Amino acid sequence: METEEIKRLTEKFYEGETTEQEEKLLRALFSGNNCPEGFEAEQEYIRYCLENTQIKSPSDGFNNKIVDAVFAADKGSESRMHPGKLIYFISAVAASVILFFSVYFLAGSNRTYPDTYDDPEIAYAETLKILHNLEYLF
Amino acid sequence: MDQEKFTSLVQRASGRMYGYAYRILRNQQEAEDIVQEVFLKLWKMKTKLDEYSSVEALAITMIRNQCIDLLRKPKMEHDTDISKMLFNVSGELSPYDTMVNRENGRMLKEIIDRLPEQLRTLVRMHDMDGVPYEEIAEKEGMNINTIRVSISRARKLIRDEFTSNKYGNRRD
Repeated sequence: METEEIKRLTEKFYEGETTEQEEKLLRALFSGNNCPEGFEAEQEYIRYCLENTQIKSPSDGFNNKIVDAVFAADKGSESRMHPGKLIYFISAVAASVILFFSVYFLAGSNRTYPDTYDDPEIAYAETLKILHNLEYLF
Repeated sequence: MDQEKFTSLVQRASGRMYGYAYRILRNQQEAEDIVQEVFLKLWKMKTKLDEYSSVEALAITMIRNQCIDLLRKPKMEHDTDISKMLFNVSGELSPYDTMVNRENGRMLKEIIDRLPEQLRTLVRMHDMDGVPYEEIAEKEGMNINTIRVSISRARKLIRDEFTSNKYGNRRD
């Protein structure tokens, strides 16, 4: 399919009908060391054109800009938590909270208190006495 | 690869990478962006870089792939990395290939030098220096269609003569 595309582009190229974008694509495709069979002459010509292109110098401080951009991106990625790690962290916190409340409520519902009175009637009488005292206070 | 080594790689290879990208794209900003993007990718692979015999050759291959991706983007949003299917990604040329290239270059130069002056000028302006048709039309006071037809004629002449010199009359 790609060979077909190269064929189509080279045909347009020889007719002077290629757009600027298509010519750049041809330059890129033919700039490698190998090329599909049958396009050797085209590759040689385009390679010759590439070699004879006048190159405009890069902007001032180009190397420094690259180094700054590379290491700044690196720093940023180190200080930011990776999305995978963040999900793991949130899941761990959520699981801990759920576990804590589960233990608290489950343990709380099963808790038993030791009896302070052996006779329920005495306990009832004592409760009534306390309630009467409270009533008196108010 | 540590930061110091990587900085030295940038200083050593960025010029060649930029030149390669510029020759294809004929645009300073785009070429600079591509080079920066490739260095960012290389730094992400820093732990594996020492496994490559030539990081510079790898960088050049990556530049080419990036250029192809960029140029194909308007047509195909989901890149298929055509270069990997079409060409091997070996790095440097062998001494034999370099010699053949030099010989081909010399042959093409002679053919272009023998072209009628107007065709030669147009080919140099458009195919080598990347001057757009509109700009040539303005500079030379010519009609765009005439320029396209002339360049088409020149390209065919170059192809036919090159093929005939190099391979005999193999191509129709």
